[in-house]
Amino acid sequence: MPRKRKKPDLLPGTLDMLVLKTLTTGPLHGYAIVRRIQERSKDVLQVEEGSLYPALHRMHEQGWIDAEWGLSESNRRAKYYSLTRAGRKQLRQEVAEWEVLSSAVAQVLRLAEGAPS
Amino acid sequence: MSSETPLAATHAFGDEPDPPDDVRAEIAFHLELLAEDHRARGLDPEAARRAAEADFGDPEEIIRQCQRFHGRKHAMLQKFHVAFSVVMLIALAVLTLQNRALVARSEAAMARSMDSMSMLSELRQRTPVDEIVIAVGDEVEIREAFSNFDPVRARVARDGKLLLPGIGWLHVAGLTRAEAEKRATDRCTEYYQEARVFLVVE
Repeated sequence: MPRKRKKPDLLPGTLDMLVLKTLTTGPLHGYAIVRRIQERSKDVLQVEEGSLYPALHRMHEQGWIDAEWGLSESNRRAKYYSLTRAGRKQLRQEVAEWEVLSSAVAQVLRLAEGAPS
Repeated sequence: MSSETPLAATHAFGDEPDPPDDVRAEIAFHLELLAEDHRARGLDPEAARRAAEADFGDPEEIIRQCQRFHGRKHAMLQKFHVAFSVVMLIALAVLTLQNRALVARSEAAMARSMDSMSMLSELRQRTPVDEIVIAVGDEVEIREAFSNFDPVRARVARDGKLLLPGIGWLHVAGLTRAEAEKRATDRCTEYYQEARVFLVVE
């Protein structure tokens, strides 16, 4: 039996941003969203399915994404999510906040490296 | 592709399902693909199914979490629908009442007008013919004893004048029949010596 793969946690608050960003390439179903994030991050980021679907439904309620049933690559019915105008705006906002946060963290780390002993 | 599909039994791909089945169908599809991944790694179908479920977590808990959001939006839409319906009903009631009031006022005005007309008609019937006061709109038969004109009917115009054939306009409104007849005769004698005009107010 294969070993269950370990899934490193996503940073809190980043799931929405990663999902919205992934959907900028076009409509995707939930499984494809998970795989796309995993591939783009070279397996560093792995989304918990248990977190993904509640997040998708929440974002749909908030109007950031649209949902529509369609046919998958293998001709089965699947629910596809796509980015809305409000979602694009939300994504821009979250990316901006992320850049501020990551820049601040990087500065602290640089400071720690360069600090005089 | 395996013929076994984990957790897909509760959903039949037909018409658009209701919200709880909607989420269930979505998760079933995801689990099918996860199981395919495991089968691609060499697991048998049953092991692949169990591995997919283990990777995924408790589907029922996930469905419950998703439904929290469904209910919220539905409840908001319901409240909006109820509020909108109430506003429309109130607006309809107000418009109906206003319309009824308008109709009632119009009917009352018409009744008053008809009362006035019937009172006037009754009054005239009791009044001696010579004393009937001519009003705008009255129809008058004009007979000229001196001319070749046949008796004609004419209506007193808005300015209170009556057109006498061969003579011209004469103001008669406000005059009694006798007064108007005398005035008409006097006008005619300007042109004809033996003139006489008879007016019959109808």
